[in-house]
Amino acid sequence: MPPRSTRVYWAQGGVAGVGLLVALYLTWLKLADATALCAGVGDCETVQNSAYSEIAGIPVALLGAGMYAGVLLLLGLRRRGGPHQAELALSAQLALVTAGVLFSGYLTYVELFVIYAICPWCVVSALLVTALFALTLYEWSHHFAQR
Amino acid sequence: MGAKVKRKRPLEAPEPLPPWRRPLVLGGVGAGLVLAAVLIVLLNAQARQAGTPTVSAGTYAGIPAHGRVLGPEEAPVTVVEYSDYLCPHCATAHEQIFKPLVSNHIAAGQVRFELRPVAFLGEESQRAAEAALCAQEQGQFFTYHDRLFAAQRQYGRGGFTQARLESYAAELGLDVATFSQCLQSRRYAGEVTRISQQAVRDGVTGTPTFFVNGTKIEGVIPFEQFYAQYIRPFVE
Repeated sequence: MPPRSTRVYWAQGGVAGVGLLVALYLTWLKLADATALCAGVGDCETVQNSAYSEIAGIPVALLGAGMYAGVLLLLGLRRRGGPHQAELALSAQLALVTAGVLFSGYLTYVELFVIYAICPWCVVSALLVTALFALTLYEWSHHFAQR
Repeated sequence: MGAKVKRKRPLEAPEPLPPWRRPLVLGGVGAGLVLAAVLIVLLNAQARQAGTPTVSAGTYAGIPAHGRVLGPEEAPVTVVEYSDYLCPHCATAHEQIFKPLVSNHIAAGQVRFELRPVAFLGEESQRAAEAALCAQEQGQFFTYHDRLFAAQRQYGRGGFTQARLESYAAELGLDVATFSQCLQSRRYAGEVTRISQQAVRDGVTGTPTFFVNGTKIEGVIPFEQFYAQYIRPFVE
């Protein structure tokens, strides 16, 4: 069985990969505006068309995709770079996922208490970024606790 | 051929961190907090802006209005729209079709427009449609209609609570006591149901659905196409 640190590393890659796919799917839904008719379909449409679904014309799902892609890039850098580069990449990853988990938490609050509509795919992404945050924080704290 | 050199596991850095690098390395959480705060502030500013109605009362000045109908009786084109206040595509149609129609063709007397509010998407749709009809009692159907779509863009379902519906009435200068009494008594519940049933009889399966001089158009299409294909043949 590989050491725990390796398992945690690959778990981050797996979660970020799945998160990227979910975020890209949500971005496609937003940009394609697939259906132009409301016929009693679920609340993803309400969420995706609300004022909270984009910032300055950029879909928040695309920001999420950028975060997941950034994490994957940093994971790659951590394997290829030297030890200090790996540390910086881990800290940058922690910055990204901290922003991601807070922003995602805020969006979940907006879904529950402002627009009263829940998009299941957004919930999946929120759970994935929370898992990614927990894994990154675990690795970061273990690494720097030894320094 | 030499054996493959096993790559070192990441994050094995035995030497201590140089002091100048500590804040950079340990500042991940702080940077994340700042980034999230910036995003949340930007998002809220934008949502507030989206909640500002973009059609003012002045837009309808001088246009003959009778309840849910806008434009002169003798207009050569009659447009009927079935719309649900909770439907995002109806909000899009409001921006992309209704608004240019008002300023370019209804005001010019070419088009008579009737809005039929339906409740296809649940309790909030029903309540919003009833509220619009309560505003109609005070001669403010279309300004309230604008306000409801602005509320949908800002709050989604959450824009149609009793308290918020009353706050929009106050914003528009309606008699709030009369409006609240109308809303609480569910005076127009039957009317909204009747309009929704009429929609089904007219073959409406989703919103928005338009009928232009009897021709059915489903969903949102570019205004240029809407005009060229359905309005122009009757006005030129």
